[in-house]
Amino acid sequence: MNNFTRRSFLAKSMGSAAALILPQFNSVARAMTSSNGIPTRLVYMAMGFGVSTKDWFPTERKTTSNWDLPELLEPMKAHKKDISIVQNLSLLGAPNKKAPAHYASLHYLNDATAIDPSYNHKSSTATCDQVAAEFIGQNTKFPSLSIAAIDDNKLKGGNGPGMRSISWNKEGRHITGIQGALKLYIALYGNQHVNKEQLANQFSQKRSIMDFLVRDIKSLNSKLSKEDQQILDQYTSSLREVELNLARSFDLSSQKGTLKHIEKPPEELDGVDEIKLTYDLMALAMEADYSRVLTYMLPVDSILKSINATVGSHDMSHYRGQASVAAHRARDQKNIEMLAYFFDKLKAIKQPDGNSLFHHSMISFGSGLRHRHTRGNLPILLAGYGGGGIKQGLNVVNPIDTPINNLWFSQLRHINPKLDNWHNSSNNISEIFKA
Amino acid sequence: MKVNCPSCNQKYNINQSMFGETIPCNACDFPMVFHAPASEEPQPNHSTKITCPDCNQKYSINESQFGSEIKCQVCSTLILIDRPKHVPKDKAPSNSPTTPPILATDPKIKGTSIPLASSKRSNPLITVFAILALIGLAVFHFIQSQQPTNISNNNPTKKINPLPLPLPAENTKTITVKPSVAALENAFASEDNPPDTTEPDKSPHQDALSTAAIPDSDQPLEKVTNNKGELMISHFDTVVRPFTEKHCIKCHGPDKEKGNFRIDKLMNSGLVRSEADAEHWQEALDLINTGEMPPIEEDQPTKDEMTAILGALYQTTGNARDVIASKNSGFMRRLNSREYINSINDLLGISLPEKLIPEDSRIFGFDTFTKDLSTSPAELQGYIDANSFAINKLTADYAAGQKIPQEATLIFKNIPKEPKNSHAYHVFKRFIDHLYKHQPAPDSMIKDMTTLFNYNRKKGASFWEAASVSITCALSSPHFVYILEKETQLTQLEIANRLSLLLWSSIPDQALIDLANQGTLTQPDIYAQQFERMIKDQKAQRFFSAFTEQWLELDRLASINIDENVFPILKKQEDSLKRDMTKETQAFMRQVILDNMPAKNLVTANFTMLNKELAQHYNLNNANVTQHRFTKVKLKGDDKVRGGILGQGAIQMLTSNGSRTSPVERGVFILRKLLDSPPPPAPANVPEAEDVPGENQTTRELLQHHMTTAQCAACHAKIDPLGFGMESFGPLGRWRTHEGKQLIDTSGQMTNGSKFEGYQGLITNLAASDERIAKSFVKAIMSYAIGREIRYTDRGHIDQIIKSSKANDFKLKDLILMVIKSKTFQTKS
Repeated sequence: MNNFTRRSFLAKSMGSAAALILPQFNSVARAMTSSNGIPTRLVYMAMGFGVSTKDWFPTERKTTSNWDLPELLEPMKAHKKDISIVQNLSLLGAPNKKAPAHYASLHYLNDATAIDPSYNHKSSTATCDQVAAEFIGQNTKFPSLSIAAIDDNKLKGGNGPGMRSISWNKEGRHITGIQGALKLYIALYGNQHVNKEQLANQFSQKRSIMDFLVRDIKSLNSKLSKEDQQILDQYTSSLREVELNLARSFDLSSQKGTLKHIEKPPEELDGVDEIKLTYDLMALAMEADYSRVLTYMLPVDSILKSINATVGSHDMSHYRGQASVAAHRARDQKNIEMLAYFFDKLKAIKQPDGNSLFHHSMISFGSGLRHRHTRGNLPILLAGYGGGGIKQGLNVVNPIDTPINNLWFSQLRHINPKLDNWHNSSNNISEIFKA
Repeated sequence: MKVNCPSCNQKYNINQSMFGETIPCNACDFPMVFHAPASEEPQPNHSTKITCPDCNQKYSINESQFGSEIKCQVCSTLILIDRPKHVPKDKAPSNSPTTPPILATDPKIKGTSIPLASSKRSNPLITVFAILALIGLAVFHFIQSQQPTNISNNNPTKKINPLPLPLPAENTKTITVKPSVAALENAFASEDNPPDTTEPDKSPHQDALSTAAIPDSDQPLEKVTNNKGELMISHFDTVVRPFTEKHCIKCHGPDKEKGNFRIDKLMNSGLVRSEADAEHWQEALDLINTGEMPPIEEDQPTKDEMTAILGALYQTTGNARDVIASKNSGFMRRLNSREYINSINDLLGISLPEKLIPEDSRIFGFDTFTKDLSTSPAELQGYIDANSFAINKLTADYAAGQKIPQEATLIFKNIPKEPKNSHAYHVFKRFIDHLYKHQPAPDSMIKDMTTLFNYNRKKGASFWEAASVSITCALSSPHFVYILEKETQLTQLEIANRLSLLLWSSIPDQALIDLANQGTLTQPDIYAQQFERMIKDQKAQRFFSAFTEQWLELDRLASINIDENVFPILKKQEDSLKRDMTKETQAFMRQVILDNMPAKNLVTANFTMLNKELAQHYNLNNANVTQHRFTKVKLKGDDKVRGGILGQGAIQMLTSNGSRTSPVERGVFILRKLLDSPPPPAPANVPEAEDVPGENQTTRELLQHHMTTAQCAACHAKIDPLGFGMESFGPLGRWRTHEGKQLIDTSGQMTNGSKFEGYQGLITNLAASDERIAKSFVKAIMSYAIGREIRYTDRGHIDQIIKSSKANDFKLKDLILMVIKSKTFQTKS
């Protein structure tokens, strides 16, 4: 029995106390794996305010494998043949009047046609990572991990006010992601300083709180008008998720061994350090197969602070003055540098078939804003081979305003070949993905 | 003439009228500008070339510019122009408007347009962090083109929007291009599509005023519904029907159904029948606004027609939104994070650790809008964790004989420090009786708490540990977190809750609850008495701070970055300046309300609240402010400009961008917050002020571009002139007479056309519109108080309040009293 299948066996047998309200996911498809039994991982990263368009996009005007690395992508030199820049993908779904400025991540992962940021960010459809999680995430601790960096900025660095992740679930509700590297560490590693008995006590105590509140909700719900029941519903759904997280954290602690050890991070972290640590933790989680679908919402202001820029993210994004232009470029390059670091990590982790974790992943790094307020022809960098069947090393120049869902559809189809279309796309990006 | 993009080689076909215009390359964004072949162009005399150090853009400059600074229009770098050694020193450089700087390319295009807009729809910028759409001569009116070569198979025809940026090119003639509709419209005319030769338009300024979307400040708002209560299309017979018959029905009517759209079906005898209808009208408005409709090959509307239809459609869609929103009925509120923390603090004297409770994810409106508050696992987990922490500490302190907060002593009275299990029920009853005075807990709660307690005791918890778990539950329960209102007509207790949330951001105290239980709270004199008591209470500070900050959007200050190149010294004081300015405005609002001053004092008070540092920043001549804390300062002489919110640094700074003022932002602020006439959202993809050529222009000059196209002028003719009146206040709130070397022109006019000179003139005019100021204030207070947007159905009640307070000069504290006495406040709606 190789490592992978033993892990998945353990994952199936949750402790009896944890066998509670597990959600009934629609079994859309069984877990999709590549041909040699190693699961494909999907990682989606979103940048907020786009890029300095000068020197980020390769200037070659047609699809080619023979392209020069632009200046801002220099740190990717070592990985050039394993990445591709996919140009001219656009967010077309929402009529712009419904998608106000500075909301790069509001529907980056689903190009939804209707999102109402004023109504608690309700979306009309789930994001592609959640769909992927249904396909390949069912046997892991976390069907998906939605992570957001700590970002004090009101606009969340261009991701959008109030954004707590870049994901929306099947009910169209915004997913509150794990905020920051420290919380991610705690989510993955749980409380390591407590013994098993204490942990069991903690768990049953917390469970008892849940039971109380569930009963309380029922008694309140019966007294409410229909509109008020809808409001209460938010509380109810949230409680369910809290219960789920509780169950998972209990389950986790009984399998501490599979995650490699790492020092607990300090409370306060510098912007760049926080991102790097998050990448470390993501790699570890992927290696331990704790999750196969990860999303990460990157900050901007904390990066700017780290590189001693004197401007804030909003001014940076509008190139206001020389300092802003310089800051934009520095931050863009820093992002690529940190991404290369992430790729290094993934390449260093070997999977049972001898290939690296990087080989078995599909990673996208991009933004729902090209720059400033432009929602079209976005910066997208793809990496990884998804276990095989994916080409890299390309500069892909699509027709202008190609729907971005073509990309997400291509990836979903890669892990679920039976998929004919997803949302409003049925077009594969054939330069990269097998037809 | 066939040309190539210098960056990516994309081919284009342009004609002569496009020489000197900037066109963004569709493929790569590069701002292309093309000129006639060199042999036809004479060389400019006495010109010197300089190069931008950052992006190598070349400029031709003349002698008058030596020693000054220009902003590179490609990359926004500031370029200091040194006198070249070979040029002898002439007269002193002057920035007179008659000798404009000459660029290597075209300097004075009075038009900008949307860059790259590849989307077909407009993109209104409706966030509170609205981009300073300082310029925008939207030439998007004239964007039709055929691409000569297909860069893709999927997009055979593409509209390209010319964007005037200068272009690196040698030996170029300087061209002054008038805002010629003709030239720009035919940007990519080919041989088959000869250029239009209609005359360029005159300034639409005067025309726009008469029918623009923003109502005049002394006109009554027009009727929205007919006698049957059905929503009417604005100006249907006079504007909409004639326009659509002339420009739309041919392709969108019974003969042809282009785009599957029938405008005749939308007309509905002048009524908006459904939400779908309203959406269609919005689409029509957007398409007309961007110039996509009517298509360029059809007859184009005249300036007047354009202004009129835009006005009518703006009103129609605005009204429709209101009416549709009004269909929603009332819903319960959740305590937001600050109300939650305050409530527990007031009840038990304990402070919940704030970092455990997630920040409210508010985007629009006030943080009392439950619909916009996120109730996610993060909030729930946060409540549970925060309560657990605080309650555990409280009970542990009590058990150890430590001092506990005064508010909690009553709960613990006579409870043993080491109770027996049988005491648990009693303890819980104490807590519930205390915590749930403002709304009843379910009958089963104490029993459930006891059951839970027993369970945890069996698991080995100590008495107080187990008890704390139960109490945490009681505080995290939806019965506590939500404020319940059962029927449409609120009970006395429910009114007490609303009152307390409004004035104290917390649940009511014992006195209020007692009156409510006795059924006497809403008796007029008792009600008024309680209002006085509450608004004078220390806890009312929470209301003054939160309401002021949210209504006047003071949190936008956080996003303003002082440009240290422009203000190197003040940059160092940025944080304390913003802090003090926020306090000034909050303290002022508090004072002006507590003193029950007439509404016009919001713009013309004879005092303000200052501390020493802020008084210094404002450079006041006639006041002696010596304290670090904020005190009331009487304003005399020139200092009088500081009286009123428009004279306050916070407002001046948040309507600027850290280096330059934004008269548009200021005009919008005045319209929204003081004149109750919010302008419609801006159309799509309007470029930045910095994107427009011409240099060393004053802020006012840059904004001229707004006036030269109907679509822009329709609204901007009413926005910008208001902002001009505030131009004496710089971007950091200091009084100024010059911008650079130019004397500032602060003349402007009100929405009804009455002109004014200078800030004082603006204020005098605003003060005359005190009814509108009062209305804005009432709407804001009411919205904050009832936890939702003001709807169409609330208008009647608001009008009532305004009408009856007119004789009272719209005194502010009295207005709040009238709000809480209103039907809207006392019903669930």
